[in-house]
Amino acid sequence: MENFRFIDHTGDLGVEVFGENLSALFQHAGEAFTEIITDAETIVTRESIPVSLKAEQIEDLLVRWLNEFVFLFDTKGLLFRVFNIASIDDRHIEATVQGEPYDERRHPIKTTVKSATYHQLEVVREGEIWKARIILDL
Amino acid sequence: MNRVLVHGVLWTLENGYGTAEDQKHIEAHGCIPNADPDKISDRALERGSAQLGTLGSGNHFLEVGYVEEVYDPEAAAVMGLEKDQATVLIHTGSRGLGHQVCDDFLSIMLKAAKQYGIDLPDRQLCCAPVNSREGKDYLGAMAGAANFAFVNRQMIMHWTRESFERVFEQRAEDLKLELVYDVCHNMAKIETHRIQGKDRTLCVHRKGATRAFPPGHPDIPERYHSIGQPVLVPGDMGRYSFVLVGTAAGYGETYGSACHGAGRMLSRHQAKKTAKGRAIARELEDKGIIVKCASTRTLAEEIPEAYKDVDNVVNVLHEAGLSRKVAKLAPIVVIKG
Repeated sequence: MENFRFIDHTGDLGVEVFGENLSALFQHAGEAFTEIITDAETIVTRESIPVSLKAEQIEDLLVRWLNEFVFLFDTKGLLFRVFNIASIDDRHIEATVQGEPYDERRHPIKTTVKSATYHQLEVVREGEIWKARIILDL
Repeated sequence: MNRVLVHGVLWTLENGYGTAEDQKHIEAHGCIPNADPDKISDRALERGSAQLGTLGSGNHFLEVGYVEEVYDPEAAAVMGLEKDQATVLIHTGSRGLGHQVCDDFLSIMLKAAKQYGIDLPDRQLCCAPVNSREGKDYLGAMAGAANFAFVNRQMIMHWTRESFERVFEQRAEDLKLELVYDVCHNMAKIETHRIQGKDRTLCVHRKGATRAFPPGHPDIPERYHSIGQPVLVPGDMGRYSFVLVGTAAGYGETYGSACHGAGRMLSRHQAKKTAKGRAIARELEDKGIIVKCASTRTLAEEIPEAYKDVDNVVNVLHEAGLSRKVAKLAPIVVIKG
């Protein structure tokens, strides 16, 4: 099973993410996010940042999770490669993410993300698999 | 930052970015009233402070071009436009600050929609009544973001003028680098419109749209009273853009609005596929257009074929009488953030 795939959406970019549990789903969503911006393999995990978020429901938590990376990139230029999720449920996530600040000599910028949106947002469990669809405003 | 959010372009003038003459030719004089910085989060301020004076990515651009064709010589003369004259077109907005304001208020509006019993077809369309606490708070924050956007464009315009001064070794005044008009896009504004013979106060939301007020409207600069408000409709980077003016018919039919661009035809993904294996910058260079782009992916996503032909789009506006064509601008240099 693939971890994520990009889907067509006029004007924006959609991502479908898959995981065997919520933890894997959020990890793969983080990885997809990085892949939109740059080539993840170019990122050295020299910095660790704790991320602790709350939301009303799981879909909103996913939006918050990705928007946290939009914020950290916009304000500190941080790009992440490793997403360690310590605990997660429908309404909260505790994680440590690892990466480094953007370096124009090493990190090719594919595009930047303005925000993760609630448009057509979906997080569902299909049998043994968790699946999410999220549209990003570029 | 508080002064930027509350006073808009006045801040840029106080700090030497532009002239009082510029301010006359900006929608709302470059300051949307009643901005409330207390409704703008620290996260939004943090995102915004690093980005003031930057273009941003996506469809944002700075384009140096020239007037390729004049359709309405009288209106063009009032704007100071003539055939073959050099032009600069800047398209950007409130950057990360505006996006953070949006993100912050989406959470608030999702709760508000539930509270007010609003049935949503899509959660991204969450909302609250304009006069509710949430509605008023949002309008205060949005006004601050709009003022940030005015300042952002004014700063970029100022640096563009400085660049022209350096290259041509002449003062901007002598080069006559005058602002034609700065107009908001993707904005909601409280306006009075006549509906079924009665004046009504409305919240006009121009999403993917821009304002296009008619001749004689009190909210447009005196200079444009006889012709109507200049309306700028950018096309793709390989073809052309248009300058139009608002009309009385458009005011009645669309609450004084026009489209703010050509509109996409291909998704970003389709555009990238279409651009695959092609040297887009070289193709444009062969057409006499120099493109400077921060990323090759953006260049691929923004290829001319990704957009509708803005000529067709603008002709619809013109034929329907919603706005009137004044001039066509062709690009020479395009900078994409």
